[in-house]
Amino acid sequence: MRPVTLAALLSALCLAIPAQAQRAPGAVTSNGTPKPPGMQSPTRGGVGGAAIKTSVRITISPSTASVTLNQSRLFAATVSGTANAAVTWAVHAFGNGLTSEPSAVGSISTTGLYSAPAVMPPAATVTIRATSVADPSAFAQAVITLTPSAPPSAALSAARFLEQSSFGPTPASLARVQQIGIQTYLAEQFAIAETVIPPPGNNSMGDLRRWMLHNYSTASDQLRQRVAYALSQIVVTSGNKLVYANESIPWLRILSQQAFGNYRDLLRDVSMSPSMGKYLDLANSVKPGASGGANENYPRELMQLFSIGLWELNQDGTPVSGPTGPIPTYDQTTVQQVALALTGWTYATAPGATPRATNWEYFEAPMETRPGNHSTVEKNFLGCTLPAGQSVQQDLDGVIDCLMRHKNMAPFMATRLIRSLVTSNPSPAYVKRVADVFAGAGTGVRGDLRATVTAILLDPEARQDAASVTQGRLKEPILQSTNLLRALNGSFSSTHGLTYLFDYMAQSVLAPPSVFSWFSPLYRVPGKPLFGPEFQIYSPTESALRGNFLYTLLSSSGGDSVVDLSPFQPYGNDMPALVEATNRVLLHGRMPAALKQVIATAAAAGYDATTRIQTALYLTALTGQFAVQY
Amino acid sequence: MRQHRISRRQLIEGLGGTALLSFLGRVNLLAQAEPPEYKALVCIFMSGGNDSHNMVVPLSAAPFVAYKAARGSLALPDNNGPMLSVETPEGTPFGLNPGLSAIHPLWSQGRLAVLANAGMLVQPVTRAQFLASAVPVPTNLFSHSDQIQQMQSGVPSTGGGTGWGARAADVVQDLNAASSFPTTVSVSGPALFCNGAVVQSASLFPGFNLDPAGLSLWPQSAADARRLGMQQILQFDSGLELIQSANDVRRDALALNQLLTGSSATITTPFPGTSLGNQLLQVAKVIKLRASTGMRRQVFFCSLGGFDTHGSQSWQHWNLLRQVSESMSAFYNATIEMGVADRVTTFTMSDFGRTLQPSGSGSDHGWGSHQLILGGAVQGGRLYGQFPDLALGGPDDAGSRGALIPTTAIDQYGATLAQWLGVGADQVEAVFPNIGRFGSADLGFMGGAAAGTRASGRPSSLRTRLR
Repeated sequence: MRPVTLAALLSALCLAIPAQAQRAPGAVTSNGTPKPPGMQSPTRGGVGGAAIKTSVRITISPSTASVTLNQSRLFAATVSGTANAAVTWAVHAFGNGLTSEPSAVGSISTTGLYSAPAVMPPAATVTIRATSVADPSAFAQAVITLTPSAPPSAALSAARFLEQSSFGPTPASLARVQQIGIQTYLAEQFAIAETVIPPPGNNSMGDLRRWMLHNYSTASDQLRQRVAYALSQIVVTSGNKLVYANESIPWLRILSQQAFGNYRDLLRDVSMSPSMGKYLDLANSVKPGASGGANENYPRELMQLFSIGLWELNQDGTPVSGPTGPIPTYDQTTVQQVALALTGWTYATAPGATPRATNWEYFEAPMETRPGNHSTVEKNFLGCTLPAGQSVQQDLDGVIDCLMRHKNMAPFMATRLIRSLVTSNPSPAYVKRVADVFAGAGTGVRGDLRATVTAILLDPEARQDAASVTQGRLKEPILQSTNLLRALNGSFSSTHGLTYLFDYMAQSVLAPPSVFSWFSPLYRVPGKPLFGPEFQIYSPTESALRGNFLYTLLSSSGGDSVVDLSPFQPYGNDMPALVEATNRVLLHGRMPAALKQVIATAAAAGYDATTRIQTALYLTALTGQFAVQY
Repeated sequence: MRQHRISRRQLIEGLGGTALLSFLGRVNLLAQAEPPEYKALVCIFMSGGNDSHNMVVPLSAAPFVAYKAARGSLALPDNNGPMLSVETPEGTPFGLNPGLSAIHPLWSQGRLAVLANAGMLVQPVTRAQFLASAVPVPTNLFSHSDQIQQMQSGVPSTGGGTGWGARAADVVQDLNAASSFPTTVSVSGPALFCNGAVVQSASLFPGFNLDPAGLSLWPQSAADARRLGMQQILQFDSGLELIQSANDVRRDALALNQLLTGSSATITTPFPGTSLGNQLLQVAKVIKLRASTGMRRQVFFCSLGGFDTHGSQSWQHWNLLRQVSESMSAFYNATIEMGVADRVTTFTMSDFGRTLQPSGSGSDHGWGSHQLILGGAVQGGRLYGQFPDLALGGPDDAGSRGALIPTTAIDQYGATLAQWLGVGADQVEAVFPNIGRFGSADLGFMGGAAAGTRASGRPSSLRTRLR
């Protein structure tokens, strides 16, 4: 007897099994061979051992096949014994040891086109079944062996890195990273001079908002800009209250200057900045007396949002479990103590003005101290003591130093920055590795943002190019639109009139609705246990607006924004090549085969090359694959 | 748990471009007549912490003296005009902030009620207990993010992952069984209040055309190919959770747009062109579509920001209340236009109240606050709950600055509204798990629970739960 392979055995047993041979679980086939586990027919018509008489037979071709992840393969069913050749197709998860949804093992269309999943399921074999419509008790099965995708390309690695470390890869930055490697590119970015914000001539916040989008899409110090953008969502102010450009600029400059500096310096500078002084009311907060108590707004947000958060954290970012659940990091007494410590600040005295106990708003210099308005009692909070009689500056420094020493600081900041730059659902191990670096591992310096950013971007979890099921983060409007423009070698012009569309899309540039910025870091994907902060501003309405905005960027190049579609012109009459080019530029080569087919078909209906190119790019930009940075 | 969305998605996927028409057609067939007993709750969230102690002011002699003493420079009347006088049936006088002039007449018409000093509580707590930390209180009192979350979740910790509006909708969802229109709708962006365990919420911004762009294309076959492509690109299972979820959102967008643009939803009542006015106009339009959508129970969420008045409070607060009252008044008139004034109840919430004692020209984060309830079914012209003692350091003060301890729990407030919507008395706990700790689950402003509760038609097994 010649040896048989397992695959041949499986196919012999499972294919073209006549319906009369199908019995209840535990039955044997007609030749007496016990059926291997996983090949028994599911409980159905034949329950109780009563065979169903039918002459309908089905065969599937091919009977076995290998399909690469993310690719598809067409199967054909032949029906005999009835005039009705119709079958229904299904993917069967049984035998694969799966507990998740069947979709994890791929899907099959009504015409027999099997699409493999993007991620390898626990078992690499999948069974598909064709069932006769004329006789639902008759079916045949084929076994598919899933094979891993080709190793991620160098282009994908570079593109993924640039999606995390910039406002999206450009043709030039992609080439640069591939040429010099990620490490060298990082060093290059750390060394590039900071883009300095040009104060708008008429002090218009609208002009500053406009410039900021232009800057995100064009600045050469992309990493600094991206980190400052992330920090702007942690240490928040808003143009809703800072209504003139010069009120926001001091804060923006601190974020930009300190993006690779030390977080202690950043917090200290921000606390003393007139921008924050106005936004969260620390300016002119005075010791308790006739005019009321010390303002608690800034102290509260400083702790809750800018440094340690609400709950005691382990170094890996998970909450510490106390006897009754999570443990609060502080209480109202803490807030009041810190509020006392932070009394005595007022706006800087404008040139030529007479210093007052509480100055009028002035934004061209850091705030000044007013010892007469400072509470000099001893303050106790978070295990720290500020002795009685300290100066305004000493108490502020004491507060910042106390927060920097708090054990929550490192995991809190690591989680926030990872979510903003890389992925919404980092593993605790990833958070811990980054938190350790924030805490001083390797550098001996606590709060080193350059080291922290490096650790975030070079971590194996960030550099994992083969996607895991929960990988990535949804792009928010700013990132999705700059990603599209930069991929097409384009940008927002410096005079564009598109800012209002970001208001509609719930990401008002430099003007988030609250101190929680545009979305909560704790927001979860609707109906799923996963974090997905950016989904908070991705309702159906917002997704429709977003899609239409992307179309505007693609179709209205010239005034407000520019894209260069000339690289696609050679493919205007060659749909497979056009789709490949689109796939390469927007999805970094990860477009599933079935999606390629849909986009090629839609694009082919276009009247001319320009329309076909726009269709291919537009539909690709509307896919979930482009919406998510993964 | 996501049945609602899946059913809608399956329709679209299974039938391609024609599915939406079929969907509308099916609903229309099922709902040719006015749905019986339509009811809707409309939440207006005053984001930032409404200084409600300057929204409703006690005018009896001694309480007004206490008010003036506590509020100092913030005390009304101020530059924005005299207060609007109202009186309870017992003859107790109160003054409404002059910003509320648009809804002031609805008090004497018996359509507008006030609930005094409501807030998040774990259980009833006295000043002595609070100061001694003798009983548990909500986590992170006075913190915006937490209190917004708690007011919307109805759970006194940040652990609540569903909103109480949506949990009430979960309970009555079976009345909407024929429709796959979202039961809870936010017109101001995604809101926890609308996230249920059963129902799926939708966000419908007012005033925008949500038709996909890029479909005015020649020839028509090319436009059709793009349109078909837009649906097909969302169908492929990538195996990656976030991509799937992003595709889900766009699928819902295509379906909802068809529904909203496929029907005539015209309201003739004039609305103010403010953010809240536009939001409530959008709510009115969706209510107008109830025959097409087949909805019998709906929950809406609107919000207006800017109430975090740490400084320059006087004019700002008056101006915000003016926007609230003008929008509420227009919306009430629209419900009259649609013949559903007694089936739609509008109510306010906020993060928290504010300290009675000023800090500078504003006030700080407080706790209990007064709320407005408006509608044809409201037993208005009355003040419900217990009006607090406004003395700084007095029996209702959680400290020394007039952050008032709530005398009524938000659970009781919401339970009264939920029961009017159709949640049975035996189901209230599914919506407010702590309701048993408080005196009454029905505060009476909707005319008693029995007035709203339908004994029949509730699902036998509820999957409502807290996440």
